[in-house]
Amino acid sequence: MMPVKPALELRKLTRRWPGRESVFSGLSLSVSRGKITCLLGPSGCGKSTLLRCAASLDTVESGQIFIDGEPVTEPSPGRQLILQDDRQLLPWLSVKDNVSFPVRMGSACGTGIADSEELLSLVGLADAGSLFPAQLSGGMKQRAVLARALAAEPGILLLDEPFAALDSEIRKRLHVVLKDIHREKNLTILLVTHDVAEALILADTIIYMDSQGLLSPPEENPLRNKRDAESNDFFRETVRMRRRYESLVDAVNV
Amino acid sequence: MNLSSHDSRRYIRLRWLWLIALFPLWELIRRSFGVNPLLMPPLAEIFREFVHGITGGKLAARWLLSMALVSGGLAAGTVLAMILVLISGTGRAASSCLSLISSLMHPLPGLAILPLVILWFGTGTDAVMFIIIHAVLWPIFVNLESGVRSLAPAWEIYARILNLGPWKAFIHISLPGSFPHLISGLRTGWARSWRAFIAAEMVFGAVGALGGLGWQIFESRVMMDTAALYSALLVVMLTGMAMEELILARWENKVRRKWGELQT
Repeated sequence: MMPVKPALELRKLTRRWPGRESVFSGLSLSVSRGKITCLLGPSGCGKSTLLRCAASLDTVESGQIFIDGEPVTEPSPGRQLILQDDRQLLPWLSVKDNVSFPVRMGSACGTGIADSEELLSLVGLADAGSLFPAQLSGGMKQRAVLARALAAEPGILLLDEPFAALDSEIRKRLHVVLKDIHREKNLTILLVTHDVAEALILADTIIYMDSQGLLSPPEENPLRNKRDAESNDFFRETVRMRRRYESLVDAVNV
Repeated sequence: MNLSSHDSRRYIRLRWLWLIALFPLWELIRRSFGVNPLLMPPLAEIFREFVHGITGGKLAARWLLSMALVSGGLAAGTVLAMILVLISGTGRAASSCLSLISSLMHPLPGLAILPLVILWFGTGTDAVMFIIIHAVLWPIFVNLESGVRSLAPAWEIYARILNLGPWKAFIHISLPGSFPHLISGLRTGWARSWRAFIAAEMVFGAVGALGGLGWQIFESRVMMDTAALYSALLVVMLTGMAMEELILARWENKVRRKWGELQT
């Protein structure tokens, strides 16, 4: 049997800032198809840079990026990047027009007939299509950005702390929305976060990134597929992961 | 001044009330100091000339001609500015070259290049149009370019992810994304072109068979008809103020509010 190729593979990537040490060097990472892989690490360790490289938005000094085993060097609508940024939607377009934008631009990957109203319903914004981005709350904006990303029918979603600026209640609701969408669309997701609980709630696989830009071997999320995990399990795992995470943060501070 | 929509409307209303209050002040000064009516004609006479100019059609036709020419120049200047910004975005060499040209041309008053314009185009409509476009082009270019440079980074990332290419990205992201800056440029461009047109016509003479408001002012001066001159000046001032406060500033505020850049 042929080995299954990862949906996204980063092979021996090295990224440097001009006049500075490398952000990471010789870094390799595989993201399995249809899984949520969570990259957990302290601020400033290079997680977001890695995600930009995975989207081919940043040029790397060395290394290669593979999608379904094929090397890629340019960004593509098949790898949608969602940021924490409050200004991702185009403010001159209504929410519905924002969501249908990739289809109108002929940039959708699949059939190119994604129905923007259906996508808005999927993210719980069925009644907000005629509103403009400035009329939306932070959580609604991120939902609309998610719907817009889905309209391009991507195979891979790259999420750069997309819920970090939202309050905890809205974040919880968006976790449910993301899980449901992931299941329905069979998406491959690489999520960057520094929120341990978020990683436990969402991820199939968790990878730690330390201050040196080094990755730990992938670990299966102990609470994976346990949506109704006992609160004690969740608490215990959160504490365990937080300890590990804090040791990474301490390493940065030292 | 960052005013809410309601405050902004009140502020503009107050300014127009002050304008009305200036009329009795004119009459008060004229009568108190016994000013020669040739220098300061009675307000009633100015208004009579104003109404007569409108109903008789001459002032209205000249106003229409002036507006048509300036609007045409604004439209042409806007399209040209967009083309220049598109060229400027092609690379550092083009950007630095156009930046230098705009820095040289922007401070140059239209009147300063009149002798050259007369040499190039004569004194017809083409010459006036050139002066108007010169007045409009540079402020719109500078504003539009600044708008394109200050686009939200997330929009540029999005354009790259969608593989839009430079032309589609310019038309669908950069241009609409810098729309508030474009309106700011139009406001400056409008004020400059309106002044330049009135001044140019007083030097070139009548544009077309009838002439515009600049020619009306010039003609009234020659005929020593100061009431008609003041009525023409009134039209120039009111048009400038109405265009700025009732149309362009409102438009810009409306767009910025819709984008969430101003409080509602």
